[in-house]
Amino acid sequence: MILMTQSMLFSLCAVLLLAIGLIGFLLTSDFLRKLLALNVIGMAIFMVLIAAANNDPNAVDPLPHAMVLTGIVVAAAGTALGLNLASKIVKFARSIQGENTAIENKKSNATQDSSNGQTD
Amino acid sequence: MHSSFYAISIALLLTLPLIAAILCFVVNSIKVKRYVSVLFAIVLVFICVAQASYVFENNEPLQLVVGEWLPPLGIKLVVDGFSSVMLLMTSIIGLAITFYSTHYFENDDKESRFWSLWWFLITALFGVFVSSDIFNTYIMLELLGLASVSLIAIQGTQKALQASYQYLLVGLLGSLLYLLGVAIIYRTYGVLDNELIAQLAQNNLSTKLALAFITLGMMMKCALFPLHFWLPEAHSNASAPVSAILSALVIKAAFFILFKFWFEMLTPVVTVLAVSLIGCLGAAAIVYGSYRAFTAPRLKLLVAYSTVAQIGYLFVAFPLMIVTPEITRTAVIYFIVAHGCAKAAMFLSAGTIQKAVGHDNLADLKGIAVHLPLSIFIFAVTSASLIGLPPSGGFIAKWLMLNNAVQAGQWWWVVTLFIGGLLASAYLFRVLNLAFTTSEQESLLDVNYSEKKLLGAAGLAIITIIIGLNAIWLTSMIASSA
Repeated sequence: MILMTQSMLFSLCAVLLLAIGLIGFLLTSDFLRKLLALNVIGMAIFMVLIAAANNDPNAVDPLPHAMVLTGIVVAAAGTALGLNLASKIVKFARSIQGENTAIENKKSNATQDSSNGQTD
Repeated sequence: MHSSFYAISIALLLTLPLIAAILCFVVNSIKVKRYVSVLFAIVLVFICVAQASYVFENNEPLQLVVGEWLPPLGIKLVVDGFSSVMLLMTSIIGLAITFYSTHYFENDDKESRFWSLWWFLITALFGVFVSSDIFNTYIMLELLGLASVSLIAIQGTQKALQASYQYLLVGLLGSLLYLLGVAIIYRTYGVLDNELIAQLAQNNLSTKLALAFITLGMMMKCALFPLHFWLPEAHSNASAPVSAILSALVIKAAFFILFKFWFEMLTPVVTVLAVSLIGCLGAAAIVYGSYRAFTAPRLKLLVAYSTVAQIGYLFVAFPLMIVTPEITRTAVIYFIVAHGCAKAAMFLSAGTIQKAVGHDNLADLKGIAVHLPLSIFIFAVTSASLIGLPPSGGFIAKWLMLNNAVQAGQWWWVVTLFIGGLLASAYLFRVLNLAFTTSEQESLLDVNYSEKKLLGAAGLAIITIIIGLNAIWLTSMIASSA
């Protein structure tokens, strides 16, 4: 059996995470889950980069760490913007739903009134 | 003048718009924001003109090694022939849209949020065009995506919010795929600098994989058929200045990156089969985009689908790049400039029509030419460029491409180009035809609507004609830089 290096283990995990993220992104229609799936994909790519830092067991390459750090900041900013937009969209949907139910209530009240009038 | 002065001017390209963005964010008064924006936009045009003239006179790229940390550890900023043309186009279109925007948002509280986001977008665009480091490009790409999404979202309508959310998801996935490609390249070659990658690149499986991921990501950002689904909604629901810059420049930034990867950096893995496949997608985009534009019910949706179609031409150039790289490169750059100017001006005039009439339903725009003569005039001039009628820039761009296709002996692309031109004339004349018919009903339009703000758009429309008349000057300039 081949002894697995740390770099290989990280890469395998990355591939697994990437698969999970892509499946989550493509198969769910829920828009919040899509955003979370994108974060999982991001983590997978960071794993690939971190695995690259350990290619040489005698010295750790600092450059991928800097890249991952920057990537995390960017991912956080993107997620924040996405969540903000999502909450705005939900607010819109709720206000429209509220208007619709108000109209329906009025309608049903009106029909009730008219039916009451007929029975009277 | 000394070349180090020019090198420092590259840093100005990134810092000046950033300063403008922060100023516009901090300052409260709308008037100050407008003055700051116009001032910075003019200064940037001067810088870009100076850089372009240096690059083309001395025939060498400008370089700035940030902090004097040389690659592979440090980051290099480079202005070569291709990027100096892109920078010049960005600054000029940016100035025109800045002028337009100072008049567009009358008494609209969206304007207070618009300016700082606008300058972040310009910073990111300049960043993409000057960066010579693939990870740095990723950062600029993300900044570009976030700024574009926010600019669509400030429109505030439910449709715009939904479109911007979809755009955000597509944009994030696209740039993550790009980052995956970058990670694979780093693991294979251990460098991030464009030039070093170009020297080291070999034909192996991991490079192929990297190019595949980057291509997929950039195709999403470019809205190449069949990944164009987000573009029509996003571009047609934004406000007019935002639609203009998204269609004219933001998509081209993704194309610029893709083009560099295919034909400057990872060229050893490019095969005839791959470029033919991309070319076929481009051809499909031309036909499908034109068809959807022809059936679009709204004016801005029509212009947005026209972008889907026009992007197709850029990808049809891919298979020609392998056979006749020099001429095709000139044709591609020329097409980007011609389409950028024409599409920006077209979206600005469509925006004016929408503001004046209150909607942009095509069926109700009969006889609009009487009330908004300047808007329709600009629309007609830019239409000529998009169809490819002489003496516009679009004619020269298509003529160069036809010439290439014939020289390369690939006649089937000629057929595609002709069909594209015919379809473009079909959907654009549909608008013009409506605009010039007299409507039967009494007009309810605001007849006294001022078209003063279209000055910037008129300037762009004139540029599309000038680059058509002065074609030899521009083509020889681009060709000499290669």
